[in-house]
Amino acid sequence: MAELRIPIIGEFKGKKAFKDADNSVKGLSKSFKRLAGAAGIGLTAAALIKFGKQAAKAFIEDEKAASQLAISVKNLGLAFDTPRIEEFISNLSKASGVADDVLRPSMQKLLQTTGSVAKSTELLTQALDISRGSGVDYETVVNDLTMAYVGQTRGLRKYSLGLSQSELKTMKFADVQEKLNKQFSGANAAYLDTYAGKMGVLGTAAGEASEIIGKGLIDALMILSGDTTVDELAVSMETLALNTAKAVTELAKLVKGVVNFGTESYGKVDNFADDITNFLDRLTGHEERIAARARAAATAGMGGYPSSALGGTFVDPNAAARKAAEAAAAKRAKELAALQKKSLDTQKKQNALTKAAKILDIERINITAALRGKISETDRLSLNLQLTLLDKNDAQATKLSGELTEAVKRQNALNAALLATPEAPNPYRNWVAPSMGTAAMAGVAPSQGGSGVIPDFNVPANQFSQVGPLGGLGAGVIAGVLPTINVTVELDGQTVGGAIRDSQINDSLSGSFNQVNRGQGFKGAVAV
Amino acid sequence: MPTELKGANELRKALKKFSPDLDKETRDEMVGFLKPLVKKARGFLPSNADAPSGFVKHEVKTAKFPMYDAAEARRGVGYKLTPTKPNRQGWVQTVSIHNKTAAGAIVETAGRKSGITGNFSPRFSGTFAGSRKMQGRAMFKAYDQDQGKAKAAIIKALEKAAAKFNAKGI
Repeated sequence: MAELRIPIIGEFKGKKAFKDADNSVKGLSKSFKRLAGAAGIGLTAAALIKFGKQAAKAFIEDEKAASQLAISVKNLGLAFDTPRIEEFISNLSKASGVADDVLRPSMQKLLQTTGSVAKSTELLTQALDISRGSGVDYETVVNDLTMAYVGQTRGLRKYSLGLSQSELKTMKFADVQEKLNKQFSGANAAYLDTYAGKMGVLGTAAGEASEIIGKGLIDALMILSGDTTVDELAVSMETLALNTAKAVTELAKLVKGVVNFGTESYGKVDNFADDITNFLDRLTGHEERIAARARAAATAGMGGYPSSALGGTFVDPNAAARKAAEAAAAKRAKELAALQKKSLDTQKKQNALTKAAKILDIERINITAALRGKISETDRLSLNLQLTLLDKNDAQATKLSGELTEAVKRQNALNAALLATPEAPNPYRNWVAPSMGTAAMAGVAPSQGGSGVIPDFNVPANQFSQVGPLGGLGAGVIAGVLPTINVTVELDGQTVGGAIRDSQINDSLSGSFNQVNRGQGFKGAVAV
Repeated sequence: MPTELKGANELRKALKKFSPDLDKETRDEMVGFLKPLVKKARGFLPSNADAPSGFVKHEVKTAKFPMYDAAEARRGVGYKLTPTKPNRQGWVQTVSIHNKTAAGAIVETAGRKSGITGNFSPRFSGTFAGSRKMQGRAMFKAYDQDQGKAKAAIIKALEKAAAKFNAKGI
């Protein structure tokens, strides 16, 4: 049970806020319904709010990227080229179908590396071809090109240029660029001819349109709320609901205009994206504002907008500055190339020295180890000569060389002498084995009972039957013919028969019961 | 129903922060009006001997139904001078009195909705005072008998503190 409490003094905190919020939501919902009706399209309030949010978000992100690029360009001392860069990015985005959100950071990276607007725009365009041709995403390609510009070519391996790593390392950036250009040139144009390419362009245009609408929406909110900055707008959030309702009414007119325009002017898919962008530019005054800003900047000496946009008589006041910047960038590029070359040369020398040092060391170690072993005079001289050569001791080398030549000669002479030596005769070739008969004792010394004469071991041919009592094989055995030997064995029959009988009885008693009680009419039974 | 006093919470916060002495003075003044009310409410709670014997706290607990202990129930009656969290209707109670214990709340309200019938509620000796949801035997009875004097005094004390605070020009 909830505790019992008597409120003596209280304060209402919630209800009014809830009511206000409720009213705001209801008002907003009504506004959106009116908007959908006015636009003649089936947008729900929620869908419209979502679109508005996305558009505003897209614009905010776009503006953020643009601001980062502008700051970067300014810090590089190229502030006068900002409008030109923006225009280039805008045009490239329209033509390629790559969103400016992607192009801006890439441009920033290239500018920071090259310091040249011309080189950056060239690389940015080339990156498109490489990306389309290789299938590697655009940002990675730009990153690889940036690294390659300063001599780090490792990233280029993925483009399969048919170059080894050492070749890539030693190539100049201009050569790399040429190689890439040769391999991937025209890939972007081919891609744009495909349906996917056209859809990409259309998608980018829709994204741009969303950003433009987002900007219009935020501007409209700021105008309606009377605030001059987004911060102030945030402070006025209490009245945002009312202002949003009014703003989305304006947005509805805009959407209706877009729908009508699209219906009227829709022809080729190629032109539709440009038509939408141009229409929105006109509708929101985006184009005029860009031109006005450029003119104002040019008047103040900060311009650089193309003369085509400002009339034929326009003289670019920043031409000299631009030329100087490009010259500085070119100088920097040359310096980079020189540094790269120097670095490569140093690296080569270092590699050669390291390799040579390694070889020398290994040879020296091997020679020293070999000299410690038991080797011939010629080998010793050869090893000493190699060591002397490693030490670059000419005099000693000459001396050793002479000695080695002499030693080799001696070695050859010795080899020749050995080869010319006749075969040594068998010292026992005239020796004949004596016979093993009683007469053999004749070979025993007289003191031991022998006759003292060397016995004759020659066995008479075919006389194998005359084998003496002391053995000795017959001539037939010696000649390889096996003799027939007759053996006569005489046994006591009673003894043998008794032994066999005893053995049988023993066998039957130890388990072969069929032998037990088998005689005398018994058929055989187990003896119990 | 509470009396709405706009800015009372902010005033208490400001006093606590910028004028602690005045805050203490105001607090003491309010406590002076609330204490008799609480004391009176505690007095309406029955002693253990007067409460139904099975309801009074005993050794063998047979069920989860709260058991009554006069001392405990009296301790549960008190006052609060700090704001509560907003309730579902959006109200914040700046100053309030309460009967916190479950047994005390049962004594307070038993028979309020279904009438004094059966074997339980008729055994309470005290009678109801007040009306509708503000009807009860102890705290509500004391508040009813007070006739809003404590409330008026507290409002006056707060208004006085606000006047003093503003006069200081902090």
